[in-house]
Amino acid sequence: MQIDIDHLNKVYRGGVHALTDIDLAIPNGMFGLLGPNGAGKTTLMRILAGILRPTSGTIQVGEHDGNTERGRTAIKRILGYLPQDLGVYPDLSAREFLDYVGILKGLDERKVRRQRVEELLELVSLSDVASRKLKTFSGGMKRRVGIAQALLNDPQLLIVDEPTAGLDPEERIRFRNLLSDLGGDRIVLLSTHIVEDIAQTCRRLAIMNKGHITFQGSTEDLANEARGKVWTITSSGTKPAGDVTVVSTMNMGATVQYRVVGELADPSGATPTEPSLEDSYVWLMREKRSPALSAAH
Amino acid sequence: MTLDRIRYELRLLGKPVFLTPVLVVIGFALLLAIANRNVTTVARSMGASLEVLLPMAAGVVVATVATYDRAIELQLTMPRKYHHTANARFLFILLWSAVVSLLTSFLLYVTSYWRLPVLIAHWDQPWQFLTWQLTWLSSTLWLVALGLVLSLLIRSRSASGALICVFSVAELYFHDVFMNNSMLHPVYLFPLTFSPDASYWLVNRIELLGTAAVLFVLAWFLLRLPELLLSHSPGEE
Amino acid sequence: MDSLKIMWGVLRYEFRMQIRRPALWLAFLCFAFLIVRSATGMLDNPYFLQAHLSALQLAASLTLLTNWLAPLGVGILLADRLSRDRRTRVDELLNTLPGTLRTRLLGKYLGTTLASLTAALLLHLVVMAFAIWQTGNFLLLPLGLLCYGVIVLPGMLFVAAFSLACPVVIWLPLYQFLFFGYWFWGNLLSPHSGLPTLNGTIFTPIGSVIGAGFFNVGSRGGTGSSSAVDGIASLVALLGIAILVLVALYQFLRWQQARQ
Repeated sequence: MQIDIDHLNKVYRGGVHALTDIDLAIPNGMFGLLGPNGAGKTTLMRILAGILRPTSGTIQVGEHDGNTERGRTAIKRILGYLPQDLGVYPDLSAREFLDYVGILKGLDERKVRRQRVEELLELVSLSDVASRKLKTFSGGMKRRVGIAQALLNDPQLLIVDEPTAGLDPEERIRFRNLLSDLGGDRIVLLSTHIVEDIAQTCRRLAIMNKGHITFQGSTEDLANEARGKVWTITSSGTKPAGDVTVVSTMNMGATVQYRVVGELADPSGATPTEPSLEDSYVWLMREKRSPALSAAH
Repeated sequence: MTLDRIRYELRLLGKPVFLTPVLVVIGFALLLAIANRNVTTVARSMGASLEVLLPMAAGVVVATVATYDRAIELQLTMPRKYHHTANARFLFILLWSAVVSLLTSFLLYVTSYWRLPVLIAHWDQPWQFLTWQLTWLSSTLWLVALGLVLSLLIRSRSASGALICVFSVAELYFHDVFMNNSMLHPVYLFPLTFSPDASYWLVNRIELLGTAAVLFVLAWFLLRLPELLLSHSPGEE
Repeated sequence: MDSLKIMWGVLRYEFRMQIRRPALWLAFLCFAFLIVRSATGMLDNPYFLQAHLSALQLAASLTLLTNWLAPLGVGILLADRLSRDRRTRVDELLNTLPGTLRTRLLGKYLGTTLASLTAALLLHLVVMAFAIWQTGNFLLLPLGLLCYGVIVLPGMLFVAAFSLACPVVIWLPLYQFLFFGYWFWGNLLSPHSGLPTLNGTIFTPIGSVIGAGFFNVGSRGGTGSSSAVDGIASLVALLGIAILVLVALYQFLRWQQARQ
């Protein structure tokens, strides 16, 4: 299955252009959507999930046309969605909440549905606390309930919006592994502003900024974007001069070690460094470079 | 809708939704029992509780509850459409209010604390009893429809509840204006309380059903706007 | 001094948040239509004209007229302000800040009440302007403001205190509904209706006892005459109860915090 998005635009009331001329092809497997806050990622997710309607443009999810009501309903049948702000019903237990969502997803057979709920509770390691009310759950536990509800109907399209926000490192790793396992024979669209999540799970990604797609390709291609532009500099404390962005600062006591991305005024004394995905992201986000890169792609 | 789903929807509505009309009727009846034994006054007051208080309570509850959903974003991604879920919820509220009203009116009937509009005073049973139910039914449907529309338009639970109360107070206090102006009869909610001998009582009740239907149609459209459902009025989170 | 600064800051922001609510202005716009219409009826009423009221009495009568709806709007629209902190999860952050609960509570009470009173005062001024246009008497404006301060403010502060406090323990829609019921029963229902009512007692926030006591004018509920002593008693009772309610609210919130 593949998602094809052509010339997608979304303009909110008041003339806010959330999405401008988005062209995107999302194949099977894990696909990352990266961008700063306000880039339009959530708007794009909501349009794909059928919550919002685009102002113009087309969306094709497999054989389903996302521009028609029938198409959107068909997409919802194969969709699993984990929103950024997951609202839950605090007085229901985890088991009850999943059971209820299962009913809404059309799993009418009680026995089958409840079996599925138990399987998913086991998958997200919440079986022991399944009878507890959701209001007693921590943020990480709620996120796990969230991923469980998204998987109830064994979706072909899984959209997860900022799934690891607020999670501790262990839970974040667990989530990533779970998503990677799921990415085998379905589309998993992972929207986040945490570069590391994408680096660890996705082979392909797109970067959004201010409603535009500024990059689309593989993670290797993205990493190569900043080749020759990443430096490590050790100084007595003076920040490096030049058109650079400091991505990390490590105070070593007598000296300070900087990792920078950009064009140094004086590269002597700086060590060229292998770029990470985060470095390339920073490089792309520098506005001066974005228009040229968009033209190149 | 399966039984399991009905069970969950009722749970999500919560006990306060179901206790409110019961408490209103019992509380008011107790107050009357303590304060006044005069049959005419009690009949008039209990009639007012069915015509005014219960419909208002239903309207405020619907305005507060029916379109507020903690998991609205998730609901909007479900193949089962959200407007069906919302419709089911306020239908439950309406049905419960109707059950309480029906039981109360039956009790009033058998205990003779029964205030009849003059127009149907000489009708035979069961037509008199059944037609009398329009006393609360028309007002309830109207205020529920108003509550729903306000809630969807203003996107504020407390404000929409407040405006239901404001509107009801205006109807109570300016009842003479509504009574004497035939143009306002289609929105005159409480004729039994103030003008039981009105010759237009039955027409008024049917006209209210008609204007309520218009409001429901508007609500029907508004429930299909996901951007509206996801929004909040400023300061009304 | 820090507490005062914090309270002033809280007051300013609560005022801004309340005054920006479209619902507040929508409610008072509805009131304006109804009350101006009622004022027209009152000013054209032959019995009213024959009463030969002084400018002060006319201002007081119009103030009472405005006040039968305005506190309803204030009370109901103020009811969600405290529970909103919990709903938006801001209270957790606020409880870690140096300002005390008492300071924040007082700032919230004053800020939200003042904002709601601003809409009510504008409504009052519209009615006074209408009366000035009808009668040609410009004295009605300063006299109207005087009457507003004396008749309206004590009741508004009383209503605001209960509206801030009660929804902490009662489900909000139930409180709105009960408040509506109370307003009608305790302020608009005539004492001669056959049902016991607080209307006409010193605990009437609509200001009828104060109006009758100080200005010798009655309200629509027909509460009869009151003396100046009754007026003072009503003023003191309303303000005193408002203070007691706020103190009780503060104690309750402190107890709630300690329990967590």
